[in-house]
Amino acid sequence: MVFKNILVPYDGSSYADRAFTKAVKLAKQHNSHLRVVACLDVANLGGWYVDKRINKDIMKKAKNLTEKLFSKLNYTAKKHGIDMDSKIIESNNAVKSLLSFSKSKNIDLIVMGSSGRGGFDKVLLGSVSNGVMQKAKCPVLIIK
Amino acid sequence: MINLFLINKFYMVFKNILVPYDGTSFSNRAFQKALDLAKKDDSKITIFTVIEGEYSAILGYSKINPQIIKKQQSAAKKYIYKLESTAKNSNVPISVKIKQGTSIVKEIINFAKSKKSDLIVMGSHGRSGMNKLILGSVTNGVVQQVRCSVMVIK
Repeated sequence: MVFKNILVPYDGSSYADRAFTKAVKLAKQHNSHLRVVACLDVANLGGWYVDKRINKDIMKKAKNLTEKLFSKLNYTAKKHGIDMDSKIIESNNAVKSLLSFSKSKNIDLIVMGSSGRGGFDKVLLGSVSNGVMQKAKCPVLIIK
Repeated sequence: MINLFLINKFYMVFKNILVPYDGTSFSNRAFQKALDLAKKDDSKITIFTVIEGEYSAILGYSKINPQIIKKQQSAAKKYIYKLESTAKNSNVPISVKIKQGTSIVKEIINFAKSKKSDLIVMGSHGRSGMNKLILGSVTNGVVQQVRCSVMVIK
């Protein structure tokens, strides 16, 4: 059991940050390739009832923000000498797109935080983490 | 002690690894993975098995028949003995605990709390597997309620 491809679903929360640091450590130990993915929600942007162009604007801003976050992550990964890919996915369903991504890229391990941005209950598991953990075909490491 | 714990948490080093074991292929693979991780981080492994006892339709799981519990314990010890020898061959400190209880999830969570383990490595399904697609009930309960990180091996 060697982890060659590690996937880190990232959303900028503190849990995701800790999951990323752990993934960097694991990648260093196993000489593995790191893939960081952010899912941007398309369906519920709001503002579509005022002007249809607003949606595109919001999406652009969100993409810029995530790219800034990714550049930070890239810096830390380079410092540790790990090759890292980052990707932004636009979708309606974060769980489904993460699962299809992990299938298509032959991911061996998913490292993710226990709850992300939608968190309202910190004791139980977040909905995205729960969905990914239940349906993924590869091992999942959940950081709390 | 507290400082050391904080430092470990900051650098994300897993010092105490807990492996709930039930003898299935999933848990064997989980143990192998835990061994790999422990070798690299110099961490301790604790193997934990919960024995339910006899199930009767009227009384539920109970302690009534101590002979059966003893039999189950000796069977579990046979399984675990192999694991101990493999861990000793690769120089990983290992400890074993067998406990009798009715709720497996609760026992695992309490044990993880009392031992201050910072990672639980467990298989996705156990002995009571009916549905191989989604997660087993014990694994699901542990992942949702426990306070430390969990690695689910599939």
